[in-house]
Amino acid sequence: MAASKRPLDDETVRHRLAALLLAFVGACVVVAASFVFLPAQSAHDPQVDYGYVYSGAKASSVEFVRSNLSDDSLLMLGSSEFSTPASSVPQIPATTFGANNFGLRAMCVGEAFDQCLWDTIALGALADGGLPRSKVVLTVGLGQFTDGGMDSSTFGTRFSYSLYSRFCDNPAIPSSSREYVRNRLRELGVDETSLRSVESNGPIELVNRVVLSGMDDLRLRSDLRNVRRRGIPFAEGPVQTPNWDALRQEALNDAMRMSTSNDWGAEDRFWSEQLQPALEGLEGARAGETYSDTPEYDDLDCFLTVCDACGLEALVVISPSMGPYYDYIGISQPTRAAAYERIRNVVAQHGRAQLADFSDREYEKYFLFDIVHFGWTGWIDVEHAIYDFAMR
Amino acid sequence: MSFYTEPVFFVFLVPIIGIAAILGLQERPLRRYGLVVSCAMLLALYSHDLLGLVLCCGYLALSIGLSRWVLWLFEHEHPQAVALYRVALALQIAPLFIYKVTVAAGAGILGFLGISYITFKAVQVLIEIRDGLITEMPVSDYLYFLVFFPTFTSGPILRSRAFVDDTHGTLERGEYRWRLYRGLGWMVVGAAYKFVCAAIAQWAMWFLPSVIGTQNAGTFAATQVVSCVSYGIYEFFDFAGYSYMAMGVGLCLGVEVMRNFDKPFLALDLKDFWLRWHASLSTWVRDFVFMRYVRTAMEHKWFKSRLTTACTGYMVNMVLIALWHGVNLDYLLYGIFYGACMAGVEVMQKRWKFYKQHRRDKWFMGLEWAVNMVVVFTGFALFNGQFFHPVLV
Repeated sequence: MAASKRPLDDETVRHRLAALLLAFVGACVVVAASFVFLPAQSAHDPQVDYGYVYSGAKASSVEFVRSNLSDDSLLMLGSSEFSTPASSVPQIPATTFGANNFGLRAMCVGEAFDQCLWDTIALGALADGGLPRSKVVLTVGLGQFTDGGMDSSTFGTRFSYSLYSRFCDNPAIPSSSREYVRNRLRELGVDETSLRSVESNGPIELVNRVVLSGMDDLRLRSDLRNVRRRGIPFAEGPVQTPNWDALRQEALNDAMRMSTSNDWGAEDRFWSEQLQPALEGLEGARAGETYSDTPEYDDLDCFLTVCDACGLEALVVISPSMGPYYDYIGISQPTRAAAYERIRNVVAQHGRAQLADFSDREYEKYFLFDIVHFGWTGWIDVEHAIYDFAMR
Repeated sequence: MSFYTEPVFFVFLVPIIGIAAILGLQERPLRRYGLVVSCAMLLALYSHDLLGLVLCCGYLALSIGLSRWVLWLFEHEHPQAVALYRVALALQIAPLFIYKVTVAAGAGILGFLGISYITFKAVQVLIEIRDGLITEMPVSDYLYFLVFFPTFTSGPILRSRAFVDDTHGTLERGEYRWRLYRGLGWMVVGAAYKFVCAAIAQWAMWFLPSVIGTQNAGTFAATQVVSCVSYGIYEFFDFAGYSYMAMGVGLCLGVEVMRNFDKPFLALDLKDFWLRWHASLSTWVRDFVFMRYVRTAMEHKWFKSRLTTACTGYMVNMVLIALWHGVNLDYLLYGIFYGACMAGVEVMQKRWKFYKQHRRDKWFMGLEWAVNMVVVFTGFALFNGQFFHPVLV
């Protein structure tokens, strides 16, 4: 057997080998120490309300969300609408429900690009053990029903191993829903290792699950440190009944102050910095959109099936799109109306699910502050519907 | 279980390398241990794929049977030895050929994890028996060579004679320590390539085109360029990372594994690039396809000049490599493009006086490198199909 050429003498190799071994042991110690020194996912300040913090880490941590639920909480699943800052729209839930004690604390869960499949997994994970009021709110908009469905790269950035494993652990989830979700995850390119490790109990899967869960746990513990800094104090004082008329009038006043430069009712800054510069070249650009060639309707159906299985009453909020803008880019009103109708039909198949349908507000100024997200009067009307649903 | 991707693989590696290190540092032979560990890892590899396990075992039996038969044919100077050797070679290649063709048709018959690399190894042994370079091959040696787990699923392609030489006898303690040190080092480098650098490149591959968009001809072109560059960089870090880890695990088990990637993006021409990129494949094809093709073409005077023969040889080489990746139009175009460019490089180096005069000049080397990178990344664009399947962009 041929010996290799050795540019280093034996002594140096021995020392370097020892250094490598020490580095390996050191790395193991660092990982172990991280579990000891990073606060557990469930750690939180009981005086602080984290329900309105917009964060992917929060949305992926079952322990953190569940430990911050109280009897008057209501789980609200959605996506980028939770990212709207109060500086743009003062009527966001953090202001209406967070700054006032209306006897309702919203727990907003979701981030941009979260769609019905992600919501299904999150709900299945979070509902294991029940939810306050046995109710959940889901917001959907046409943006998530575009032809071709969600692309795998985008979904890959939002897939949460922790949520999926907790979803699979929930005994209430029917096998048909599990299978549907598993197949959708495969379609979207989620790796087999992750899927198998939560579906099977063999020794190989067990080791994978321990390592993957541990890695996800460490990542979430680390990311949640930032979430804990962004909570708001709980509203003090006795429970009040909201005066929706007054809140709406205030919203209208804010809207007229913050949207002065355009006839579509968009926020001035959004209009001047993003929408107006992009309009040129967009006329008729999306005329081919049909909102029909997507698995999103089936994902919504699966979400509602999981709600039924977990004994939850669901309120599906249909968010409108900005009518003038969508007319301009070539997606006709009948096309949009057909998509809304299809969403309504899916919801109608589930007896316990209710609708808060705002699809007829596409041309109402100030309902949206950009092309898809609730604006001043929009949030107030949506919050009114949510309040009525929660208190009923 | 998948090698080099699943956490459980790395968890298993800790005791496997730990025991190998204890044995190696005590100057104990590692061959039997390596064979047992490789068989166990293969069982884990096929733990969810019983059909794959059966097919793999069948292929191992076929390979051992064919190698014994061809050895016997030449040992006994059978009058039909060469013809029967060709039959054996065809039988050896048949499962991979059927698999690749049927995959293209959507079926994937006879395929199992690792079929490509095990075929390269088995074919190589048959050819070397035919050439008289291998006159004996004990079954245990051959089995260990075929199932050696660090390189089983995705190479690098081992060479049988070097492997048998490496695994026989006992390594002297200092020599094993040196291999263990290099092995662990390569594993760290490989892991950093695969799990850090490749992950960043993959993110860029998705993020940058989505930021640039395809609104007009300029952004469309920019997106195409960014896509193929980020794809090429991702492929490098992903595959090189895997290969370095395989090299590292092999060294920990006392086996020298060929370095598959050696700074390929510094190559000045395409021939140089292919000696630095997936070198175990390109040298395998060079030794067992190109050289034989050139020799046969010269013997039968298929072409008037050696240069033409070499150029057609490069085309055969690259088309073969392309079709091995998959039988479809994207890969075929990729193979034809690289084959034509390699032929072009050969003509330039042999016939172009200006090249011979200036090939050592820095300005010329810089220009040559830049042109080569354009060619290399255009090849990546053809390979990932971005010209024809815009959804990938």
